[in-house]
Amino acid sequence: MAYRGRSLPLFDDALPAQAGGEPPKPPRVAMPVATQPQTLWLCLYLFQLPLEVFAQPAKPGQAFAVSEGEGSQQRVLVCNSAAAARGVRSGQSLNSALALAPGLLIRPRNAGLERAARHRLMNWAGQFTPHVHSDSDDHVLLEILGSLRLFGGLSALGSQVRDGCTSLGYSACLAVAPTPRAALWFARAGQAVSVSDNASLPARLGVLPLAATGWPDKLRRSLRDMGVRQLRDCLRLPRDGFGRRMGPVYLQELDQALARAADPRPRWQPPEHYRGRLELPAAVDRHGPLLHALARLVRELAGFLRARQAGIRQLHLQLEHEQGSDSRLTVHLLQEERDSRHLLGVLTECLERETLAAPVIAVQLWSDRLRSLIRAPENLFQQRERQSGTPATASMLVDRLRSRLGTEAVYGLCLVPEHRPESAWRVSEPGCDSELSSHKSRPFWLLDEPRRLASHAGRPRLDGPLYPESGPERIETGWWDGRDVARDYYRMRTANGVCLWVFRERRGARDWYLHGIFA
Amino acid sequence: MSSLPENLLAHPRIFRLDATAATAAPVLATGYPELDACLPGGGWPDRALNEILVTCFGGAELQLVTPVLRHLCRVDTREDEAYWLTWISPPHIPYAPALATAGLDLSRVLMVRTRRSHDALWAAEQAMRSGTCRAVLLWSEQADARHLRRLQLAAEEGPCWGVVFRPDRVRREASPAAVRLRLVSDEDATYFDLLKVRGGRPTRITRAHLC
Repeated sequence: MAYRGRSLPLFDDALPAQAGGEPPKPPRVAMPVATQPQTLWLCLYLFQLPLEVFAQPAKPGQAFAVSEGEGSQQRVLVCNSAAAARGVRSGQSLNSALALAPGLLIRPRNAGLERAARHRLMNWAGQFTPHVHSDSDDHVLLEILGSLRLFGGLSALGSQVRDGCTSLGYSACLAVAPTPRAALWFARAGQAVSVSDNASLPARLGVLPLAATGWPDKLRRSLRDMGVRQLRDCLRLPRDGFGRRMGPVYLQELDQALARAADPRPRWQPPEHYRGRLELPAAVDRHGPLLHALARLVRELAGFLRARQAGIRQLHLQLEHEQGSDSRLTVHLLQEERDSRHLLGVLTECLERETLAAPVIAVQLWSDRLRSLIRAPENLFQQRERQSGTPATASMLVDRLRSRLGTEAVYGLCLVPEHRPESAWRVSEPGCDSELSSHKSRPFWLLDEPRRLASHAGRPRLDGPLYPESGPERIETGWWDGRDVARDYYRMRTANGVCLWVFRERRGARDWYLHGIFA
Repeated sequence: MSSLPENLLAHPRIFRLDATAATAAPVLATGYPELDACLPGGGWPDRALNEILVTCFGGAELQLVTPVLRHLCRVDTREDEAYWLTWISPPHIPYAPALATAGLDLSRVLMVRTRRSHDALWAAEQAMRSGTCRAVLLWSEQADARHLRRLQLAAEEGPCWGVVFRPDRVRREASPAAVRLRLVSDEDATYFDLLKVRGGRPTRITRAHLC
């Protein structure tokens, strides 16, 4: 080691200027500083996560807080703005908080919910970059250098992430820096900065308070006792001394923040299915607050699907009740979908049709198997053919109608090559193509069931005699499936000009039946 | 009149009865020249609600609209354009082979069956408003002027060609539809009674047969 025994500051410009003599050799640092960064990290610091893992209170202006601690040691951890307006502060004891805001809703902190929420947020963030990472519950890191062009630059990407995050119901502080640790420290200090080159990192990081590092209290206290209040002071300390006294881990963290040491971050592996659950701060018996909570989950789902380049055909919704078993709803979609507006519209119709059996305390949403939505590339030189299947917007209407009227109530028509009139068509999925087959003259209307007609002297009657116009057309087929028919079809006209399609059975009683109406 | 801005006169809610009233509002040729001649612009008003009164459902009303539906199916549709030809609570089974023979593209036909009449009205309004329907046909016994008003607005908003089939007995009631046509047939002829034409005059047209 070249500089053993000599205290080297962490920072080049912190070296005392030596008067005369040869200029000091710049100290060798752990890694050469590259001015052009290889990575750019965006950090989402979720400073209100313990509160925001719950849905918003049903009543607007309802004070709500999350507490931490046991028994009489319970203190307010975070509170919403309605509670803050009444003087509730973080760190207050619950009794004083309740004295300030008598109707305050309090829920204990739930680390499990926070972890689940962070995982869902990482799934959602996958739409911006494939490299998402997080190692603690209060932040999510996105490597965005490769995504800048696609999203139209840093500021456009940043505002998309921020707006998306807000629409999911999370407040976040965003910071961008070439190293993940620096981005986290900026965000944790509440500085929404964007630093894009390594050279300015030391100066920009230097002004941060020590609290931004998230180091243990004991360490920060001892540093404070030494007169170190900002990172800048910390960087002036002798390198080996700092490492020896405070621990090599923290020295490495400083190096990593300044891009002088490698800081590999494993990629988050998104799950195969989406599953999101949102607890309500208090039980609700109205649809409005439920839909609000549901909208958050659906937007998460939409982001997840975009990240996976997939869509879903089925969506399950579960409402958890305080008492009694949970209610479940399943939504079937006509096509693979991932648009949040579409999904939410369908779920809303579905939910509004349901009457709530009991007050709801949590909503859960999960998806079935994802289906890939990667489209085949279009050929530039080929005339664009008619797209098979229905356009995406058109299927929205079908899903919406079905969610209220039931799946069977909305259908398409399809031809079947078959001679029996009632089997020559069938109900199909809307938008289903059928091959064209030529048919003889057929009526526009077919009765659900052939209607037996009275007859007089071998001629059919319907409010008077019927006058044959054309026929017979003999249809005698279907002996193989037990529904064989043997009929003679006629086109007949009534006295007041209505043209009907009637047939006479060729077997048995040789009755006359009305089967269709021409006009 | 000429001092009024042209775009104001082009507004669908303002109609002029003078000779220059060749409206810019889009129309769809009915397929019946006698009828076209009596309708301003020469066809059914597109982007509006058309009301057809029939003595009983499941009669000749389809002959009246199939020429238009056939035309709509032939016109090339871009992917983002209105797509469906929606049929809401038809009285019987619309027979697919006959529709295909008449030139309708079955893959664009969307059938909606409803149990309750207000579901049918709801579905019609959703379909018209969605902007994904090129045409919406509704059979309704129960619709009243208030419902039709909503449907008329929905058809304008969509936009789509809205048609509501109603029983003949309601012909004396007021209706906000752009065109009200009564279909009467006796043993040797069919009559189109134009009860109300926005921008035109009520008339009766006789036709030997519906094709």
